[in-house]
Amino acid sequence: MRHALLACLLAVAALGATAAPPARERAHDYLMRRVVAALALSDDKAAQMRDILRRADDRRQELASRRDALDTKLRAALARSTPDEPALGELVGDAHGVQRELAALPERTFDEARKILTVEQQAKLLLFRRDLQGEVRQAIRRRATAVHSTR
Amino acid sequence: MLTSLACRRLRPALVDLAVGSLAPGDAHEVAAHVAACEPCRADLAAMRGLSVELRDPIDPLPPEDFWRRQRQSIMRRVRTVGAAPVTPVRRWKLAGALATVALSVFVARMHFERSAPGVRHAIESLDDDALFHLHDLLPALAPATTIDDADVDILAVHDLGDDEIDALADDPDS
Repeated sequence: MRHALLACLLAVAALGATAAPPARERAHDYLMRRVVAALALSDDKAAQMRDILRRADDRRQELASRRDALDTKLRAALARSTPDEPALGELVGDAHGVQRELAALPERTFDEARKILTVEQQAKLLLFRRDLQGEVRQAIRRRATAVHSTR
Repeated sequence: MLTSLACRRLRPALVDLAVGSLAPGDAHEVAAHVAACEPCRADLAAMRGLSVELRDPIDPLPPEDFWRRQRQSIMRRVRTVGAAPVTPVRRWKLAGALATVALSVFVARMHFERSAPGVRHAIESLDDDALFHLHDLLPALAPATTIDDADVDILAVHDLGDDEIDALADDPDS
């Protein structure tokens, strides 16, 4: 009986090892596979690139979260019959700062990547990002079409 | 001495006389010797007793109780031998089979992912959640190269409602 339990545990562990990670990790894994293939990265460069990508995504999520919270406050402030202009002005300043940081994020990420990539790889990264963005948009469009046609 | 020589000469005939296969002509001489020779008479008697037992063996078949006890003994041994070593072997076989199946699934999956780069790189291999995450992440990877690209980059698919998705689907050029 103990052996059967041990076998079941082994089976569950092996299957667990193949279980799907969270969406964020799946997206990162996929992006890294594509980046490594497109830029022909070595293993150590791939590891460095993965760190850059992860930091960029962490920062993006943090800024997007702050932006969403500020948007909510802005809407609430504007919904008042007599807006508190000083408070609103402060919110505008904060929201603008977050937007500016969000806008600067791609530049900052690319600057980090340039430090570890060759010029050729940098050029490929610029083109790759845009190409992959197009693939993603088309995939979303196809899925939206599929959802629309089933209604 | 004469008696001894006669005994040696007639000894083979004693056997035939005992089992009744001696020719009548020879039987008279052998019987006369046996009548006069005490050792040969004793041997003949012993041979006759043996021949009778050989012809009519005592209780040739064991009683039914003997076979019943034998069957019970055999079944006890079968159960004893079968219960102890066979059960662990079956459990190990089961454990081995399960472990083999799990390992096969793992290896096959790893092999499939490594040997099918086309599938691994296909955007359709991503589920919706991962696809949307990638959509949001990609603009942060490198600066947009054109105004159009930048405009589209700020489109947050998560913010789209059903109607907007419908409109997007209706207008493939958008």
